Amino acid sequence: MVLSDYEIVQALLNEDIIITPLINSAKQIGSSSVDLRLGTEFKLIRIVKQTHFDLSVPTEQIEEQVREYTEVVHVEPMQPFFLHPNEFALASTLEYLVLPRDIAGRLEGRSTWGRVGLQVHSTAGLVDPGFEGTLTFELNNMGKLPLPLYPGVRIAQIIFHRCSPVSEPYTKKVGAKYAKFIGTKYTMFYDDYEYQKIQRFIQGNIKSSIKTKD
Amino acid sequence: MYNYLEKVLCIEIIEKISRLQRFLSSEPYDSKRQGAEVVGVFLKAIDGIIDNLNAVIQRLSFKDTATEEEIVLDEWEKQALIRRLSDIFKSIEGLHSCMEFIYGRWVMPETRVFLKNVLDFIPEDRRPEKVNIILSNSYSFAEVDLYEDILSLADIRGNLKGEGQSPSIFLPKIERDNPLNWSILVHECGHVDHQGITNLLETPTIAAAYETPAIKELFSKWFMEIYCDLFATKILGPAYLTSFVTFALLSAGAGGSEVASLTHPADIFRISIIHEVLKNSNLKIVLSDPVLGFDDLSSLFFNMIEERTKLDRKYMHLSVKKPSKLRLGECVDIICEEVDKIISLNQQLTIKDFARVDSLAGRLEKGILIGASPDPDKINSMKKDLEQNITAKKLEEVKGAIQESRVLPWEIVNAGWLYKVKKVYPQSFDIFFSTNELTIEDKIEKWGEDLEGMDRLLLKSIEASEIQALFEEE
Repeated sequence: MVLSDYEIVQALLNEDIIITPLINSAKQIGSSSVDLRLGTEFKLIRIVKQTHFDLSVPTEQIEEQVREYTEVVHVEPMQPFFLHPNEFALASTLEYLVLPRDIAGRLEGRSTWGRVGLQVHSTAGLVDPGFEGTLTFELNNMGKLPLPLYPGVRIAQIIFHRCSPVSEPYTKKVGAKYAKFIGTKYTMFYDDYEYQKIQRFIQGNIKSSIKTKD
Repeated sequence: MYNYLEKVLCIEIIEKISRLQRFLSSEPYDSKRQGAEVVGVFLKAIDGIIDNLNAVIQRLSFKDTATEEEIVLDEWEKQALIRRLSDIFKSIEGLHSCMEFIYGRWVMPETRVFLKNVLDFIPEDRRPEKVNIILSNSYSFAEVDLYEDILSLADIRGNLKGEGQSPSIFLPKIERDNPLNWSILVHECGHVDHQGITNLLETPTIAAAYETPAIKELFSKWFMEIYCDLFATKILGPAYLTSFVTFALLSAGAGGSEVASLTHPADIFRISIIHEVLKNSNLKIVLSDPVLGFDDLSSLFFNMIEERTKLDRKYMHLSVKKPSKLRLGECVDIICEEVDKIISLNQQLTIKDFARVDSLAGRLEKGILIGASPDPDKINSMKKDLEQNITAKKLEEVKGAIQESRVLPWEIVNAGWLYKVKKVYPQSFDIFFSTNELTIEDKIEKWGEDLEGMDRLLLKSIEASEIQALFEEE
């Protein structure tokens, strides 16, 4: 069930949901959503020499490859970040959110920005019950003109869905990679247990091929 | 709690080590790059510093075998440990000064936001158009006119037409992302207000204090420092004192807090004045659970520097006398008046500004941003009104009640210090002074991650506060 403005306000009053900073509640709280603002940190994909993420190396080096793959841009308040056509960048909400165990969130764009081609997420718009932290935007400019994005502008909205309480809030889960983080975080795909197995498998193969040669 | 001062010093040194490690690892070096070897040498040196520190930590972790209680050090051993810690800090300073060998970065945008807010206190006609902040290799905070400095170095001043000015403030590299120690930057901002300082030095009472030309130069520099101390105190409140005390405790050598220089009065002298001004203005941040019997932040830190000074006195047989010609009380009052002229009374902190510092520290503990904060009174009054059949008009009223108000950078920094004293120090004592399976390197690594999280929280709070100011409607 989607929460109405009345239910959202009640949840905010009781601190069941925390959204901070809540700069202008009258403008931000809509009939069934709350507008979210853009933070100050961006991570752009950059052209690198590497051909792929090499899983045959230790995790710290994969982490390094991920960092190499992205360029950090940190803008000050009242300074623009230009997202060029067909460019992809990670960013985050200005707001820190806390959700209870029985409310999930869904991140959506705002029509105002959608009309000029801005997408705020490509694939991951679900926010688990019990999430705490800032939300990540996967920004994409599908239009034809560079978009001037200023920290603090409302570019997205979150819609809340009530569910029965989950067994374990997201933040308390072992392996919750993006919990309680503030700002924009790199991907941590290599932390997924599947990738850790694949990594061990690849590394094992390399070792055994060296032995065979011996 | 026993040996509080020594433990706090250990934690502060661990913090510096952790920041140094973070700075080195944040630079874009990897094993394939040329810089890796240089960074490797730094990391090796840090290992050595950790070994030295570990010896002190081990001593402070000793328990009485019969009672299993912590041991109480006698004064001589306290003195020896404090001296050892000062030496360890000096080795960190030494390492810091070698940072010129590695790739550097510019300051964080948050620092510029913080500084902009400080400079706003100086009237527009007395404020320079731009103040640079430069990350420095030496572990010192200072304000210089870069234009003047660099041109005189090159000995080309006479050949250039027109006067230039480029006031610049130096921030040690390892304090790049530590807003709690940016408090000292506020002092440096005071130096930027040349007009205020000139006015001060021409005040009859201050001018009379010189008496002889020989001490005129000395006292004018000292008064300037006190002026900047009070400038920072009136803007920041207790957070300036706590920052200054930790800096003084670490950087002072034997008898250091009582040693004056040609440019600066003795630290203990300056800190006493700041403490006095805070007390007289009733700028108090209450510790709900008193620490060492002190129920406010400033008194706790003032006691630490006093303890260190007393120990130094016993060891060094120093007997410091106040300058006999200086009518201190009167001069400090005049300096205060001069500072009041820049920072108008309605801009200065009052005890009311600290009303929510405790709840902000509570939010920090939960990991929540504190750039804005709700008003609990408004919220409580609305809770009972919110019923199912609420009108649209009433809903708008309730929305207004949950809107958050801006938390000022000074509140953020004070809340950060309060949180550090209430939670970070006790938790750190448990981690480092209790025996467990982890090595000190592992403990520092884990602890460093938490420290980084806390820094991030404070930095983003400063930014959120600025954005709130820009977009909140009247």
